[in-house]
Amino acid sequence: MKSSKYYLSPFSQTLSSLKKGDIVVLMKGITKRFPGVIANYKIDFDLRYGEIHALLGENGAGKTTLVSILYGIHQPDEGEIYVYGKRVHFRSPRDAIRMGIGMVHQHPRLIDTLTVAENIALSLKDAPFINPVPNVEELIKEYSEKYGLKVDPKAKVWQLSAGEKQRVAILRTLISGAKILILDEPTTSLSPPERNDLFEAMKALVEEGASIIFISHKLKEVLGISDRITVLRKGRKVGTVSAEESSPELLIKMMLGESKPMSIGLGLGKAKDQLHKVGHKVGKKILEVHNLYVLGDRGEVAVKGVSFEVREGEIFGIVGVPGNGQRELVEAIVGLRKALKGVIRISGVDITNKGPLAVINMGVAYIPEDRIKYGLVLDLTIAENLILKDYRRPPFSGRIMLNTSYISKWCLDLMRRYDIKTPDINTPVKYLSGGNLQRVILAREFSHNPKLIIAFRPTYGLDVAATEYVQKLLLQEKQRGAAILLISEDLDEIIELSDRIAVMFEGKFMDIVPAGRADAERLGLMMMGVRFHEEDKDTCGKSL
Amino acid sequence: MKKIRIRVERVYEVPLWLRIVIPIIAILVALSIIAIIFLIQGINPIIAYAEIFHDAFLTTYGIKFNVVKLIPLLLCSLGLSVAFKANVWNIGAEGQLLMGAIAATWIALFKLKGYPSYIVIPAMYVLGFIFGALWALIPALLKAKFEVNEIITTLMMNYIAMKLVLFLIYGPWRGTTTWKYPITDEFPAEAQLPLIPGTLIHWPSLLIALILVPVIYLFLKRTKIGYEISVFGLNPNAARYAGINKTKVLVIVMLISGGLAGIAGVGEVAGIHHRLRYPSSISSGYGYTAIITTWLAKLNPLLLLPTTFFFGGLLVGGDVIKIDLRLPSSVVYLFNGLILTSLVSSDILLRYRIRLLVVGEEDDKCHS
Amino acid sequence: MSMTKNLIVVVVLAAICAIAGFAGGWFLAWSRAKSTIASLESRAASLELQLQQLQQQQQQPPPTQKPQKIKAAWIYIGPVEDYGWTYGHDRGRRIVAELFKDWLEVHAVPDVRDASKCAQVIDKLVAEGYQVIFTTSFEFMDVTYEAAKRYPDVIFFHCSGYKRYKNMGTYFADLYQIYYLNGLIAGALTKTNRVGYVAAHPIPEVIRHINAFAIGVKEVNPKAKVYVLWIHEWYAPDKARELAETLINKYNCDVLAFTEDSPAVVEVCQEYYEKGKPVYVFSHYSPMLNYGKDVCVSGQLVHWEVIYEDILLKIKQGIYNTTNLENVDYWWLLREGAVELGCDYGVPINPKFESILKSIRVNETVVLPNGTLVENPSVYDLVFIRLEQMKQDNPTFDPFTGPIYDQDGNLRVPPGERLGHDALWTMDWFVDNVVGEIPKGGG
Repeated sequence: MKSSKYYLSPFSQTLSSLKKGDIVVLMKGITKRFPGVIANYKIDFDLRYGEIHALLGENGAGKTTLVSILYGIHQPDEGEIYVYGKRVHFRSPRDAIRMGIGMVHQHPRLIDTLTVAENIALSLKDAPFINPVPNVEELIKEYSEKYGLKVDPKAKVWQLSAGEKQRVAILRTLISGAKILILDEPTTSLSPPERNDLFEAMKALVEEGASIIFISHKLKEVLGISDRITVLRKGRKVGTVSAEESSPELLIKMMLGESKPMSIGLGLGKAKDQLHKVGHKVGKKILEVHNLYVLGDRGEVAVKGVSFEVREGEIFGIVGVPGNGQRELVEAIVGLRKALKGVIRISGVDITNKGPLAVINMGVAYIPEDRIKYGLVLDLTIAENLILKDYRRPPFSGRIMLNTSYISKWCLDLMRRYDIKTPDINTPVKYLSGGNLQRVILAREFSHNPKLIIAFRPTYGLDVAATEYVQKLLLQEKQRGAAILLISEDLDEIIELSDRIAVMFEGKFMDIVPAGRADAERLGLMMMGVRFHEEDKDTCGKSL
Repeated sequence: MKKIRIRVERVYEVPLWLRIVIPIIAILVALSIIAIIFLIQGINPIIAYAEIFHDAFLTTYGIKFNVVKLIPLLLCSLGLSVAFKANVWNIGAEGQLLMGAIAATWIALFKLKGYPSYIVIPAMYVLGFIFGALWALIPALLKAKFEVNEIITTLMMNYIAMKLVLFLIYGPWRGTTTWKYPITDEFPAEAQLPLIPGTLIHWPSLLIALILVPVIYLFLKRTKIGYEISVFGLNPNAARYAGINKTKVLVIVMLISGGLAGIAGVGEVAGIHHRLRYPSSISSGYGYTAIITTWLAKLNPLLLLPTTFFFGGLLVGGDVIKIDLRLPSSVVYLFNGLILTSLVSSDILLRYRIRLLVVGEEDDKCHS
Repeated sequence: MSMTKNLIVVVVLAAICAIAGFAGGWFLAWSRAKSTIASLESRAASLELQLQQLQQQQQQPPPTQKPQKIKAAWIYIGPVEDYGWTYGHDRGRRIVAELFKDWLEVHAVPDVRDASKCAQVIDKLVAEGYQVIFTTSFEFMDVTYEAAKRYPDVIFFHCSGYKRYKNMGTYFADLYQIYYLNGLIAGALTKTNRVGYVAAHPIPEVIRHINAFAIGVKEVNPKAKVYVLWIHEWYAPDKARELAETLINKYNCDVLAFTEDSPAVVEVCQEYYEKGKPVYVFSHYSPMLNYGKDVCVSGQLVHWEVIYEDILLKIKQGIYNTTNLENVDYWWLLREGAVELGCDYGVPINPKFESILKSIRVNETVVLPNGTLVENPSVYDLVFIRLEQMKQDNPTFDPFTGPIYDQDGNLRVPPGERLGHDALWTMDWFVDNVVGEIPKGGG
């Protein structure tokens, strides 16, 4: 590679002598305590040259802590780390980068207003001081061709899709010389085709001598791509298995423990089946959307004439690749975004452009896509987050003052009902795990028997148990008679939960189909913009 | 070849003891830097510090004046703590204070001249609050409606308020018994605030400020509006999501913030000067110093008592520097500035660390 | 652990600073004290002559009856280095301190920017036992008055105000006569018939000075106009410089006078002279000949020490006490020697301009104090005749003698009448040859 003038890895010698199967990272007896929690307890972990090693576990199992220790973000309280056989003490990520370790976060930290090349140039300490960009552009082209990580070096980051950002982040670590890659839940925000591209790239990388630690929740992905799988549970290592000799059942058992899957995992499955079987006593129209047009952030028309309705006791699913107008649609319905044209009615009342408060007052629950950005105030306590929508009415408050004694009683009750695990209602929510954060939102939104629930990617980023829990709650609410609008890019989830399914593509509904007639493959194609005639099974032409 | 490099790194975990020790060290470092200035001036810094501290905090003389300065600082800071809580950067307390002073003058000399003090004094406070609040309302509405940055508007409004005071004292309100000097006539006795005998402490203002400390604390902690302010300040997206009206929050925090600064202005003219005069005489930058005290108190109204008392003491101590040590008063500004700078940078020190390393050809040596 | 290491480094640095501070402090304090003593000694020597002269002038015998010391303090609004107002007062303080060093202990607090600080400084000074306190800014009037009530045993003197109390007197040394004399010269020197004036604040004192200056200009050169621009600051060298350039370039003025506490305007004129465009100027408050050797014609000087001397002596002799100051108001002029004509002490007119001023004749007849008539005197002679007239115990001349018309043509002073103290102190109109206006609002 001609590029290596500046960016030659310090280990090129060591690396050239390595062969497949040699251990490149060895972590022995890693223990890490945080106040009140043991995040990792005596974990042994090894990564071999040229392998993809998946770390699997529920939220809070200690996966992120373990890789954070390897990446130098945290220092272990006990245990030893060896990289290429050398004992290391990383005091910061820079030490780790120096040793050729790179980490790609779930949401890559890039500067939106700069180009791809500029972002990458920023992270290269050895890049030429003056005019580094053309040099870097060449490098990017070279690397992206080699690994199939297609990006335009001159594009501004804000123009990129989530998948492209991911690729930029991976390229960045590669160009700065990383041979050991940590990918922290890289697929969560990717569409299915983007996900497949990523997997191809990962395979190309290990072919070229990289070693990858891959963190995921999704069993299918893990089984599909990994060589070995290490399962963590509650901060301890359950075991490491090779992909060939494992199965989804085995992994679930490992993740959830011997007793748990019976009560939660499988139990939930049964409950879901039962809830489904009850069938739906579909009632009155609750939500009506008619010919809705909404502008996106950059002034483009993101929603183009969408019409549908959701009735009592019905789950209406909208599936689509992220970025096809789902967010704008939801925000228009809940009053956070102005509708350009069209009408939105809730229980017959026109709430078009009436603002979020009008929608809340109609008894609408909204589980936002971005929990941290919209759903929660991280620096406030659990109690303060739980009353976010109720604080303004009695008995939560009088005319002026908040009724703190009622609030704490109510919050304790909610925390018990929704199983939010924390020592104290006055803990700031920023100290809670991802699953508990979602529970806080669910508790808040469902506690008042809403007649309309808008759930936007409600299981996004959650582990198996938490996902089941959320899905079960949605079905219970439907059973109770709530109208539910479910938006997700997860086709399986949509098919499993919805009564009717709309496929959204480029701001329009491709079709609305009853769940009974839904066919995953067909829906998947429709998500990509392939249109079918109602009566004709043949494809009739692609749009775009 | 080996070379030495300085490297700044993010620190992810900070133990509690460091959180306490670092600010103390920051203040010590600031004191050490100023010590060098004392040295250049030929003054023993230890003696100087002892004198400043002693005079400002341990003598009745010092405490008396400390409290005089604490009154406007505390009132402005209370208001600012509300605005800052909503993440609204009101830099305009200085101008809002002047508007309060204008209001008090109007009541005292024109509107309610000749009325007994039990009418005039409450009227001054009320109108002072209203004037300060309305002055702050303009940036609030500009921000709410047009997204105009409030830092710039509030700052600019300070200059407008100053010019307004100048216009009044040179023009329509210039005193009739003042030999044409650009000051207004003196307030009648009924419009002069009572003082604690032997001091310049206008106790009604002090009382208002002290009562407001717990009131503002409870307002922020326990009221619906206080809750909305916190949510809005910490996460405006979540506030929108929860249906909190942005304009309402902006208007309320700016009304309170400006109104309290206005009350501070009433106290200064009706309690100390008894007339409207040059803006720089009415407030020696209380509106700006209050930003520092509020920040130091981490927006907690209860903590404002010690921080305003401390900064009141620094201002008094600065005069001590001048009177006893015969140094120019600019040393005081240096003093305040350095303490603030050190505190702010120590905050960075908590989150980052600086390492010196020897970087050699064998790069892998650096991690030991 | 690196944190601990960092910490240790910081602590050690702080400790080193502190120790160095302590040691160095003693050393510097000691060496500074030494040099201060040396400079004091030399200053004492140089002042000896002045002291002898002053004592000769002083008819009263040196005070001997009351041997106890008097502690007097001065409170200034600006820095001593301003080379204007505060500098003038501090010079006065230093002279009386030297003069009365047997029984007078002095202390000065500069840079007391606002009234409430002044109150604090007064409290502190009283607590430290100062019996006489001079407050030298109009800003301090109210707080001095309040302090006088609060401390009935302390004598206060306030400069430039109008409030008095039984233990609080007022004093002021006014320059309007000097401005008039400067105006005579300015009227003679201008070729463009445009004279500029850079003015500080639009208050009666400054308006009075502008008018006196304009009256002088008109007496020598009825065609000349005085152009006034306002700074709205007492001390603002940058703005003064800017306005001086405006007057020169935009208004075509070739002679400038000003009221601002820095030599900025003089410097501008010297620069123009060096560029080949002579613009003449009158220095203000302090001797500024050195800033404009080629352009500074004359100027105004103040001798606060004359007033301080009188006040302190009378206090020493018990003539002034804490009960009888209600009506003590010094308004001292040329007669009392509180002000002086010149751009340096003892230099009433820059010798460089002597011949030209002697060559210009004024078309009027002047009566000398001894009764002789002088026809068509030179400007140079006229200046000194007027100076003598105004120095008399009963001045036979005052610039504000009618007929005087204002800008609108109204007769403000009937022929033969003189304006009294109160009219001068509340002056808010310009005489007819002034171009410019008095701002009614701020601005």
